[in-house]
Amino acid sequence: MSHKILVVEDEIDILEAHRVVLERNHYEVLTAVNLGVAKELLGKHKIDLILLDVMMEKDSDGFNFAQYVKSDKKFKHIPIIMATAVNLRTKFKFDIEKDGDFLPVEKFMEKPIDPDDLIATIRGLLK
Amino acid sequence: MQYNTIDQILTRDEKALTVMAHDIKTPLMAIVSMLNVIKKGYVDDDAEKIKDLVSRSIKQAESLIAMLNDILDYALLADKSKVNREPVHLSDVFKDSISVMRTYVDQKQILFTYAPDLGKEKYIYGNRTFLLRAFNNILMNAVKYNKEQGSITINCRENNHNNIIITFADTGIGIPEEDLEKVFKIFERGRQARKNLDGSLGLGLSLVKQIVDFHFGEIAMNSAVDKGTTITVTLPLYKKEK
Repeated sequence: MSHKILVVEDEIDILEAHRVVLERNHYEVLTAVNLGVAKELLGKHKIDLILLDVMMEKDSDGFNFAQYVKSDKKFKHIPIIMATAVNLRTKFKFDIEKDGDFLPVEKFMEKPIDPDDLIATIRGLLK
Repeated sequence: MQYNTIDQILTRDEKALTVMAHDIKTPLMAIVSMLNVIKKGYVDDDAEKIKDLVSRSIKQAESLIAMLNDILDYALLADKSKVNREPVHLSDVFKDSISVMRTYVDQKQILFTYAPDLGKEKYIYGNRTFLLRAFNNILMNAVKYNKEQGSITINCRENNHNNIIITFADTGIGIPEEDLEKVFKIFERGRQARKNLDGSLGLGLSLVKQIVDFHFGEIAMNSAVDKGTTITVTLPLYKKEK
């Protein structure tokens, strides 16, 4: 049975790029352009992995969703890859070693994400 | 102890630059993401998908061009002495703007109402290219924020002070009251609003305001969420010598 991946990203063209790559690698893809849809899908489906954009409509959306997932017993086991861009205003650059405590995700990947790296990372996390 | 937010610490120019950089970076990331899918061979066997991803990339690139054009115009208008002024026939500007908008209006099946002799025999002493840009930007917003089968109405009247008052009314999504004062300020629109407007709109209405200022005019906006927006532009008329 193929793994089910939830992609949360508000830029529809980036979402489409991820969708194509994941489907070609035989993953089942669910997409959400905002947190409302993401939460709904999370409740309805058995998700195996979440690819989450760090900053959506509000700067804090990605962080909030990661906290939401990891603070719920039903979902906390789901690995999260957070797609990050160096925030131009704050100069934040994320690092799993140093930021993992307050940002409970399994992996950070800097945008634009290389499709081959994405697949390799997902395979690693779903092993 | 009181803390300042990042927005309070940054100067207006720094804020403008960071927002501009972000707005340029977002479509570029989308383009790189989509082209990488093609380059790495993920869609080699699907000509339709390749075409779709290329079309999406072109659209993103076009939005970047539109945004950069706005930035260049904005910079040009910053030094008003370098912009030519001449008597501009208002109805010509309307005619050109309406013809540019026609395709967009038809695509969304919007009811477009205007008097055919809008601005007839009326002249503005100013810059034709910039006036056209201002009308186009206003109408482009009216189209993009409008509902399918909504309406746009342009009206024109002269007041006793030798001004022409032009109203652009749409039946679009409207703007919340708390955001109204921000719309004419450079880069102060929300991220979502900028995205909805194909990228070119971070600057769109602030550029319109600059252009109206350049023509010694005034601009005002009334809006109600889910009902629509009316933009009123008042411009001094030029009495052409016979």
